[in-house]
Amino acid sequence: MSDDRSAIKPVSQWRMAIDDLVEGLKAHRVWMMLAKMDIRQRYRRSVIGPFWITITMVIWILAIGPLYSHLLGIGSEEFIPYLAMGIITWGLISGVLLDGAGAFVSAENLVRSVKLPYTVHILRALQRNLIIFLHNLLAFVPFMLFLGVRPEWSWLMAIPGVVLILLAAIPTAFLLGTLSARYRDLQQMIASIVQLAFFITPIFWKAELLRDRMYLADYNPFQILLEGVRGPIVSGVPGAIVYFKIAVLLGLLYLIAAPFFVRYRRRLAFWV
Amino acid sequence: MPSIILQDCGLDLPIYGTINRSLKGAVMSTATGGRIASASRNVTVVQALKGINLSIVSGDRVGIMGHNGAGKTTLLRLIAGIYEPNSGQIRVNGKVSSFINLGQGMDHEATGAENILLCGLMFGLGFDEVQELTPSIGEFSGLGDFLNMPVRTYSSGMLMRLIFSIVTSVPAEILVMDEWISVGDAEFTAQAGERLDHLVNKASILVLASHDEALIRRLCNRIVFLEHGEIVRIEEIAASSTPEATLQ
Repeated sequence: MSDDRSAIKPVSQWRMAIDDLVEGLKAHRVWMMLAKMDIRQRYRRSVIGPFWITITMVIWILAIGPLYSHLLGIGSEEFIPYLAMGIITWGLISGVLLDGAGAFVSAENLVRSVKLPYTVHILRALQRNLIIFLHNLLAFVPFMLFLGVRPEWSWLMAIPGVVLILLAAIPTAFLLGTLSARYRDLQQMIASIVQLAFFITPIFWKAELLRDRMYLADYNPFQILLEGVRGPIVSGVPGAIVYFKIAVLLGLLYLIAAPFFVRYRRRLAFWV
Repeated sequence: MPSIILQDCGLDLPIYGTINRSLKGAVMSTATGGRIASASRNVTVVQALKGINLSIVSGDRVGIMGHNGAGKTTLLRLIAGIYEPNSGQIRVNGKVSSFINLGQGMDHEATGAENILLCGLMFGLGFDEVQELTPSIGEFSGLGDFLNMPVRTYSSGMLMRLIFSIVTSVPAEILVMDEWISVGDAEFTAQAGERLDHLVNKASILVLASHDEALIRRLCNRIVFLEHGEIVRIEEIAASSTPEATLQ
């Protein structure tokens, strides 16, 4: 009997978590398809489909832009591109945060019927938000044309900015998604915090207005991630310090999320 | 060689109420520590499986029988890798295709064809492979033009036909199925039974949970009887009643 027992060697939880991640990345067709279906489902019965997202965004910017540019006394040709990129990028940040937190709960039925790497559910949520972000990005075009903003090569530096947001979203989603599966009131708390963060992050006001309290923006993780995308397009590629801060943030997130996921991964199927 | 080995597997399913589902509740109960609060912190745990020892090798067709709540589905989920045991060890070698509440895992707003693609991808096929399989899945399910309708418009019987057709079309070494026969009409039940007969020769291992003893006796060479999460008896069925014989 003891021989039998030694026949099966227990697989370490770290090993299984890493396998989950690797298998999840390999199953890119699955999460891309799921994300595509999510988007399609949301706009299935509307004629213009996901371009509703774009139109909503244009209306938002049209409504808030001139008002705040007047309130803050900043010229609208300077303020509106800043605001537009800020809101569009904020949509991505808040989207991956909220959807990431709900990634496992909303995939409840799938988790309990098919064996899939948990990473698939996370990447599905991120991919869905990336698609929405790309639609939102189109909302920037009419303002560019209207205000005569010319694209520059340095705008391409916004792409690594988006990648960095997604890289930060992965550990965050693992962490919050797992916790939200266990504690069902957490999602509401996160929603409130995200809403609050929208107001304390320089999006429809400028960080310079903080004057001697600039540190409130300098150390706001949302602002740092936002600058990685908004900066290259409206005010020039941010300095190395911003990228350094993002790197520190990423390091911290992975450091917290990795052992957490390794420990609670096997409990997830019971929690959802 | 596909094989499934379960060694002394135990599984506890936690049952969460409203209070221990809430972070606020959890924080409050550590802070107050009163009697009601501390009582509510305890999560009810159902011992769904205990001391399961089972060794399934290539060529085995295992039927699982037991009352409602005996642990059949939990055992299937364990074999499919959805649950991991709290104690003991499990090793599954081979590609598993599982059919456990797959209807719930589908996207009901999407069409049947889209769901075939989705399920195919989830079972690890490529786009081309799914495209190749789609006509035969459509044909066997008998859904015809309904494949281009959203799945939410399907009756439960139609949904079952679709799922059964998908799961049995995807090449797998281990096929795990749960109560598959319950909602099909007589004609489909007969077709499905026939298909399963062929399939058990193709798939190396079949694990099937059902209440239908006649079906299990016809298809399986071993029957595992579960009661309160424990195996009470394993019956080996003589070779004379294997599918090859019944097909004659």
